[in-house]
Amino acid sequence: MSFRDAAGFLMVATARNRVRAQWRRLRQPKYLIFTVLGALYLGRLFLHAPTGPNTAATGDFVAAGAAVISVLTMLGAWLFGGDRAALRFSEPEVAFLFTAPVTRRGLVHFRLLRQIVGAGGAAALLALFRARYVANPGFYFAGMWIGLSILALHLTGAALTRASLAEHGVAGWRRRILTLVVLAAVLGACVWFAATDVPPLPEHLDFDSARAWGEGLLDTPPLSWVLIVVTSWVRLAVAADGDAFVHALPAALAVLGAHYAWAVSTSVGFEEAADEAAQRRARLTEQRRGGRRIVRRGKPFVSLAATPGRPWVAITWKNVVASTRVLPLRAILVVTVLVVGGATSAMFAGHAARIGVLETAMWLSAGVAALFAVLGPSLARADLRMDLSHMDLLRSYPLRGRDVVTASIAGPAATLLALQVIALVVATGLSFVAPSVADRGAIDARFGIAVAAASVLAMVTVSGLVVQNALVVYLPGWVAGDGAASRGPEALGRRMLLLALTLIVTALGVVPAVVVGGLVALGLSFVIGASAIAVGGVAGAAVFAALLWPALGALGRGFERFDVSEG
Amino acid sequence: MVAVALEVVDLDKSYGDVHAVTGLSFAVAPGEILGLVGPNGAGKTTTLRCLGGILPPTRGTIRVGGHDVVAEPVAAKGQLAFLPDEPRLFDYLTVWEHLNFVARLYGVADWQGRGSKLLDELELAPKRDALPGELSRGMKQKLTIACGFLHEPSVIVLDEPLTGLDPLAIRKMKQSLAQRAEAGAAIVLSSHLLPLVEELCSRVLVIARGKMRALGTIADIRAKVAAPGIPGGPGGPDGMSLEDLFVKITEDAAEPAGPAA
Repeated sequence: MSFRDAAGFLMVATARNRVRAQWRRLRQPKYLIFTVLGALYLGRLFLHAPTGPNTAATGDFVAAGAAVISVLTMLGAWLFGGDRAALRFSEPEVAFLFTAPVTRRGLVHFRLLRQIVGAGGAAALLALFRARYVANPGFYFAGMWIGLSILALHLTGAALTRASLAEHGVAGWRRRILTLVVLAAVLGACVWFAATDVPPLPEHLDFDSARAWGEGLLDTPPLSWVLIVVTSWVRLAVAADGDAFVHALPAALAVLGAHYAWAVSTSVGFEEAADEAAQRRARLTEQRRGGRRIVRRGKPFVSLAATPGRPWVAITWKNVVASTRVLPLRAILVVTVLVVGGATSAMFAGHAARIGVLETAMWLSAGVAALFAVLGPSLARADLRMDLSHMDLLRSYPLRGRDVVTASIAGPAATLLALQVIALVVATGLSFVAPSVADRGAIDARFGIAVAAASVLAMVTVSGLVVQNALVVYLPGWVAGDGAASRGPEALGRRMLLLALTLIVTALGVVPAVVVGGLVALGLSFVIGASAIAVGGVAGAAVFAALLWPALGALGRGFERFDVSEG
Repeated sequence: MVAVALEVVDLDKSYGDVHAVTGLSFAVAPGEILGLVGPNGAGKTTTLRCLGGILPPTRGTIRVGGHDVVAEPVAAKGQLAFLPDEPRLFDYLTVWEHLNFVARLYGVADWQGRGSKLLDELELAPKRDALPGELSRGMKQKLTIACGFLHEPSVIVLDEPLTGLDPLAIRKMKQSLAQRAEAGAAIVLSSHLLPLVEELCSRVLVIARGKMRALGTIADIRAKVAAPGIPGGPGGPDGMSLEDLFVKITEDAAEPAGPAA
């Protein structure tokens, strides 16, 4: 027996048991139904025959895009990567492998092989989703597998080399400047030789002539040598036939082998950084299992002392505080300051600048408000998702299920609605100074539109939060997300379920409310004019609240029947 | 026969500018149980993680059975078991598969017999095919212990070994450690349970602020603490328990110019 045996056993047994655990969960019909739907969708993607005349061109474009991203990622690793080689090992791997009779090189081999296996899985998924757009899905899979493996090995090799350079005193800015100097030299050489060897661009440029010119450029040394790190596997992925594939294979394998040899031969200490990174990831995973995100410390925005003493208020307060810590409030504040600052300075600039900056700022603010409504519910997880691992504790509180659910959802809802209102106030304020809209509509009309928009966005936000929390109550196994849940057909099924639930809640709650609000606004407009828009918005919100109440009751009953052992 | 199973010489471990452990030197003979005690943040876990080969020392050497953990890791770690304070198990390996994996890792040929015996001893046999997610905290701890003992190490390093165990399991664990020490294993254990340390350990190493504050048998330490000019505990120097000694030593260490025992 050897480390090779042990590593092989670990990988095979883990994969087998993971599938078994997923299989066991599928014995529950509620998980089975949507997994089957996900699987059917995946199957349809795979079996769907290629369509359209530009299938191969689309495949080429996708592979070229992947190559560009790959090159940028590699450059980023050299320029922005740290000086410590934090190779990715899990906490159990650190506990078992770092203390076992295994050489450092053996650990690096293990890590690299894991990366290659992982790249295979990612390539299979890519091939599955891109099967319709590539000339040959098999070739595409092989090319992408080798490409992703090369990228992963390059990042590992770069991390080890950076650490090695740091050990020799070339760290931080010195290393980055050195990288830039080397990069500039290589780029200079490439441009110099390309300028002398490559013919100028044809005068009448079309797709084929541009492609031929580009291929000529890429085939010119030394650029062709530098880019072999990506061109080798791109040629494999887009190979039109077996001959082209076999012709391209040796170069791709040679680049892969060279990367493997480079990574494994770089002898440098990585254990400490890997251990720290593993502990950090473990904390993050633990929080995610409890439906929580990593939160920052800091003073809460809301004080409990200022709130009255009803029990459910405590839950709402807790979740409001958590929401303010989970959401990137600092980034939001910076964006707001930039928008307001830019708009204010544009007020003193010329007319053209005013049109550009003020209108952009206005639409940006309105867009941000809409974004909070659409994406906010999945980002602000400070509700039952956060408390999934403490459901037993929540159940022990002297509160009805409806109160717990309502109070839980109210926390992130209040935070998101406050942010939306701020964004809408900024947008409304800017509408008075943005030249193209400043003279349109009276004050009451603008105010009415803002109130109606706030009302609709609030409905969308609360609907999203209700759907997310319904998933916790009825399908906690998928929300806990232990890794097995977020893969393959199950993950796709979960997303389809989320989409379906969102559509249902929107159809049953938001649409009737908007229709009623619209009718109220229309009816009253003959009596009170443009102010009716605001009244319509309020009426719509009231209808939505009335429809929401039984939904929260149902969710509350679900919470009371919740099997805490499942979470 | 190696007279010293574990030897630590001038161990330093820094994280950037933070000196977690400074100038730590001690040795553990075969059959000896050394208790490592100290307040939170004293550097105990860092020391144990260095001994276990997880963290490379910034300076100094650690030898297991005469082999340097850094220069000859395979030879050194082959004789070593490190049991962390928190059970860190693979999510998708069953109890039995964990033992199988460890057996392959350490090259244990007759692991099935040893594994079955360990599972019986730790009352884990009924959970043989369970995944860690189906085990209680205590059971996970027991599995970690079984994995650590499977290759019959000559040096055992334990960080808070009794956390999460029930009273019966604690008693069995204490017996098991004593038996392994009698069989010649050198054991280093860290614990905040001072009565356990007092009961089980032949010597005690008190560490505070990353430095060794006292090393020896409890009688030795008591004698040093009761040296002229240093007041004893409530019952006089002879009546001081390990807890009294611990409080006294660590309080002294907390003072800016506290003397090292």
